[in-house]
This record gives sequence, structure tokens and C-alpha cells, in this order.
Amino acid sequence: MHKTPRQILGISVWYLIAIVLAIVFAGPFVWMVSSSLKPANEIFANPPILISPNFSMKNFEEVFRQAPFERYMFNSFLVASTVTVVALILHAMAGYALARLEFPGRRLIFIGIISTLMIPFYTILIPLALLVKQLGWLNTYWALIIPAIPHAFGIFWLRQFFLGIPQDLEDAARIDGASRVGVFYHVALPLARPVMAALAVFFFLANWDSFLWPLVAANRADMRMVQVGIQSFTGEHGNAWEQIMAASVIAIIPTLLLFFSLQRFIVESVKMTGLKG
Amino acid sequence: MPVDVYQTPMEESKMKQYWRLITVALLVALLAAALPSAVAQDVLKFWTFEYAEDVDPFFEEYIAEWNATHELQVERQEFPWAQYTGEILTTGIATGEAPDVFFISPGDWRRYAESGLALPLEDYMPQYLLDDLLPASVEAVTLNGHIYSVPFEMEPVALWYNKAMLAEAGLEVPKTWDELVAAAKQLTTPERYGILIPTNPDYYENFVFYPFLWMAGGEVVNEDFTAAAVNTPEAARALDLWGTLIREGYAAPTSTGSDPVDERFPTGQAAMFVSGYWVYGWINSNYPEFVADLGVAPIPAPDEGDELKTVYGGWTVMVYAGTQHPAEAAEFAINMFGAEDNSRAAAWGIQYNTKLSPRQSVVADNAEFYENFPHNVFANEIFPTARPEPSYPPEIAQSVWEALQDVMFNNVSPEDAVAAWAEKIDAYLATR
Repeated sequence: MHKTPRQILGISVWYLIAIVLAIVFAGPFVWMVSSSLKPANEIFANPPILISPNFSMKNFEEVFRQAPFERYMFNSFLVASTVTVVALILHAMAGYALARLEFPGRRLIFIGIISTLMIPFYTILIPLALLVKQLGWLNTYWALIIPAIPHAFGIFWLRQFFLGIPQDLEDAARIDGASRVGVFYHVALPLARPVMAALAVFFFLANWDSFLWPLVAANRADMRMVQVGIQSFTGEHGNAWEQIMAASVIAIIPTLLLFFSLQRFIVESVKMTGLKG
Repeated sequence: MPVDVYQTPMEESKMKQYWRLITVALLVALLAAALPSAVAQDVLKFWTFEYAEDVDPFFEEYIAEWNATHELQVERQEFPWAQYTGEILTTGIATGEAPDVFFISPGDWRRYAESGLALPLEDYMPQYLLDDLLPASVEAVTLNGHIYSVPFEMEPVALWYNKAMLAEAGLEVPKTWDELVAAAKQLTTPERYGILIPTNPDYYENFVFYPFLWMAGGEVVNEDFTAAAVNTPEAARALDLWGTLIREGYAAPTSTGSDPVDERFPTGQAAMFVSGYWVYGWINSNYPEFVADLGVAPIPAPDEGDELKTVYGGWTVMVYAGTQHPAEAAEFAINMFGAEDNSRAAAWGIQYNTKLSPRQSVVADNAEFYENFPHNVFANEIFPTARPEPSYPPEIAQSVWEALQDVMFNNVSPEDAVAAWAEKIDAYLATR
């Protein structure tokens, strides 16, 4: 099919915009990878060097040699995946209860949960640290995992989704003899799969990237999570940029894998819930 | 919707049993985890920010030596540099997890000393140490007659320059502010800046600015700490110098992320660099080929014949007032750099870092080292003109960098800036 010049022009404009956006978003990423593969004194060279003639993997070796980086990765992985799984189960149950069960105070509880989104984490940092200390959890995985589980965003999103499921579907299941729990487990949850997948990505990323709480809650070196570990390459009179970049490249790999394997669900879920009330 | 009319009694009871089991199992697991695993051992906690890997042996050796000879064992913890005095020390003290001994920055020192968080150390300090330490360095850690921390390092600020670039332009090292501006102008090309000064609004920017303020004859607050001293032509002149360098494009308006060591200087993108003694150590290990072109001189004074002044920074070691073991903590803190044998104090500055020791005996005992470039320039020319970094409360510190930013980036005239600056300081001092 032939296109009119007008159409071609239109397409070209869109392509141009897409290319510019791609450069804006991919640029820092490319720069990070490039910097992780060159010696320190080339990172700030002018004109910039994209592919270093002194290309080497030395920075990566240094990252693992100077710090137990695999331990940091393991800690982050354990914490982020546990939080994700537990949060998904609990948030789905809470979201379903708020959407479908009739009980006194339901509205109030929902508003209460939503309003926690407006409290900045900095304001609860010290009370939370005190609480965790009194529980004897400092420097344990409990301190890293438990406080990260409750989050209004997931509950809200799942509630919105469950509200959108036609009531008739559930009624039909009830007529066929399914219990409340059965309906939740066999009808609502399978339908929520795309939303849950998207939330899984969000939860995992948020916990993988979390910095302030792990910094305060676990100050023993072997309990560090990966973002705190990367920060340890900064120093009094400057930063080991080449090592920070190499560590960042390593740290980004699991999140990329997760994102690419689940990305279609993210788009789908946003279309599905439409975040409508 | 009708509630639960379709549910058979049988199914419901099975379901309930199931959930009860899960709940009990979860509770047991939680309780088991919540119980403190072991009674915390009594140790002396020592906190620092994260030092480079090759500095760690300094601490490891001292702690091993201590632990071998003392019953109370020392445990050191390191924290990321940028969060150390903020999030880490603050939450540590707030939650009762505070260290017994810790490094404190000059910027935070006064806050800790004033709020009773620091243990007075004068009764623990041996006389030989008080005699050995430079009086100015002791004065900088003294408040109301109490010594609140032990100084152990000094890093004076100077004017670093690229010898090859100055020679190529036929320039002498600037000796006055007019010469400095002229040199910066002449050295500026489309590919490089004439000079680098810190541009991020923070404590470090203030730190580097103080010598300029002092040399012009200005001060931030009066001697009794009761009123601002900045609403003067002298302070305006210092602001104007920095404003001129930025506005005319002779100085880089942006930062590469860490002002104390700017990569643009050793990579030929800047000809002069106002920064501290540490620059040498950094260049020596990261840009060894650049050392041949490296020159250093005192920061120029406004006019010929004016007294040269500079500032020195450096962390000090503090003992937490709430420590359970004040005597041991004080002994550990003081002995780290203040043992009668000064070799550890010397190693800190010579072997592990590029820093001067506040103990006068260190320079005397290592005369050979201090004959070499650039240590000789620092020890003989720059250091004698140095004043310790003042420890102002955050409100005053902020007023300093706001005045600088206003003149450098917001087109505020230096005269207006000093007036607004003085107002902010006075408003704060009135609340104390």
C-alpha cells in the first residue's frame, strides 16, 4: 500500500520523537555500561570516550573483591522476593475484602489505608527504628522484610481491580457451591493474574531499590542490601565512579530480567484496572 | 448480595480449621523470630564512615592491639559517607544504638557538643598530648572550657594549578585577586575553565569560601556569637570575587558530583582548582602522569601585602556522653592518634592519607617527608596561615551558601546579598 507524502511525514515525525525519547532514556544506561568498562581517568575525559581502548572487566572484579557484593545481592534478592510474595498474598486478600465483603467500618479502614500514602517515610523512620529495635530485629532479615510488606498502593490497586470484576461471575460460583474463600481463590485471583504480575514487578523493584530503611535497619556489613552496598563506593574526597558504575550494572541485571519477562502484564494491567473507582 | 446462604456447614468448618492452622503457624513463626536470639555482648562500639580499602588496616591494627590487651572488646562499623552524620548517627542516637566512640565532622561538632551528646575529654587527655597538639586545633574542639573531641587530622585548602597551562599562557602564579581573575580569564578557552571552585550549596562550599571571606577582612558572626558580622564591604568583596568568576564564565558553573576532587582538573578541562591537601593523594593514585604538571600555592590574598589566610578541615573523634564505659571509650579514642609514641598519628597522615597531623611532633619527627613536594608547600607555606573550619549551626551554614548561590547564580548584587545574609543570621541568633 502506498502512503501519501503527508502520511510519511507524520510517521517520520513520530519516529523522530521516539528516537529522541529513546536516546534520553537509554543514554544514561549506555553511559553507565560504558563507564563500568573503562579506567577511572577516562570517565570524565573530554571529548567523552564511549568505548574505551583500555576496555576491561577490572572494575567488576574490584567490586566483588572490595566488598562481599554477592552477599549484598543475595540479601536484596531474599528480601525483595519475600516481600513481593507475602505482600501479594496479603494485599490481594485485603483488597478483595475491601471490595467485596460487607463489614462495619469498611470505608473507614479503606480511607485509613489510603491516607498512609501521604505520610513521608522520613517522618516514621525513627519511630519505626525504635519499634524494630524493641522487637530485637535490628540487623535481621525480619527488620528488612516485615516493615516493607504493608503498602497502601498494592491494596488500593487490587481493590480497584476486584471492584471491576462482574458480580455475576462470583454469584455463579457461589450457586455452584463455592465458598467465600473458594470464590476468592478460584475466581477472583486467577482473573487478577495480570495485575498481580505488574504489582510483583513494582514491589520487587521498590524493594530492590530501597535504600534508606535498609541503611538504618541493618548496619552490620553482612546484612547490607545492594543499594547500600553501592553507596559504600563513595568516599570522603570523591567517589570511585568506575566501581559505582560496575556495581550499578550488576545490580540492574535482576530487575531487567524481571521487567522483560513480565512487561506485557504491566501494560495490560494498567489497561484493565483503568484505576477507576 | 445475600451472605453465605449457599455455603454448606461442612465446608465452612473445614475451611475454618484450615485457616486457624495457618494463623497459628504464622504466629509461632513470628514469635520465634521476634525473640532475641542471644543476649547482646558488651562491646565498645566504634563508628566511622567508610574509608577506602587501603586505609582499613590502620583501624584493624589498632583495634587488634586494643582487643589483645583489654577485656572490653572494640567493634568497628563503617557507614556510607554521604549518610554517615545524617541518617546513621542521628537514628543511632535516637534509638539508643549510639556508638561509644565515633568520628564527627567539623560541621556537626558544635551541635553534638551543645546538646550534651559528647563526653568532655579534658580529664582523660594526658599533658604531653595537650602540649603537642596545636593550640588552634584544641581551641576548635573546645566549648565552654570543655574539650569535646580529639583532633587528629588537618587538611588545608590551597590553589592547585596546572603548571603546563600556566607556562603556555606565560602566566605567573596569581598573588592577588585581580591577578587571579585575570589568570582565570586568560586560561579559559572553549574547551576548558580557568578555575574550579565548589558550586554545590553545602558545607563544603562554605569551607572553601571561608579563606576568601577572612582574607578580605570579613567574618560570619561576631566574637561573642551574638550578631552577624557579614554586612560589610569586605564580605561583599569576597562574594563578588566568586560571583565574577562564575558570571564571566571563568569558573565552571556546574559540578561533577564531588567538589573536593574534580576530575576536570587532572583531565585538562580546568587550569586551576581551589581545593585541599587531599588532592595530591587522589591525583597520585588516579592520575599519576599528571603529578609532573601539578603545582600548588597559597590562595591569593585580595591585595599585595595582605595577610594570607586559609582554612583547614578535618574530622575529630568524639566519645558519646551516654556510653556505659566512659573511661575505656575515652582511652580508646585518645590513644588512637594521641599515644605517646606518635607513629600512629604520623602514619594516618603520611602512609594512609594525605593529611597533616595536629601534633607538632609529627612534622618535626618526619622532616624528610615534609621536604618533598607538595608536602613542603603545605607544611611550611600554607599550613601556618590556616585556621580551623568553624563549626556553625546548620541555620548559619545555610545562610552562607545561600548568599554565595545568590551572587553566583541569581544575579543578586554582593551588597544586597550581605544585607540579606546578615538578616538571616541575626534572625537565627535571636532564637538561641
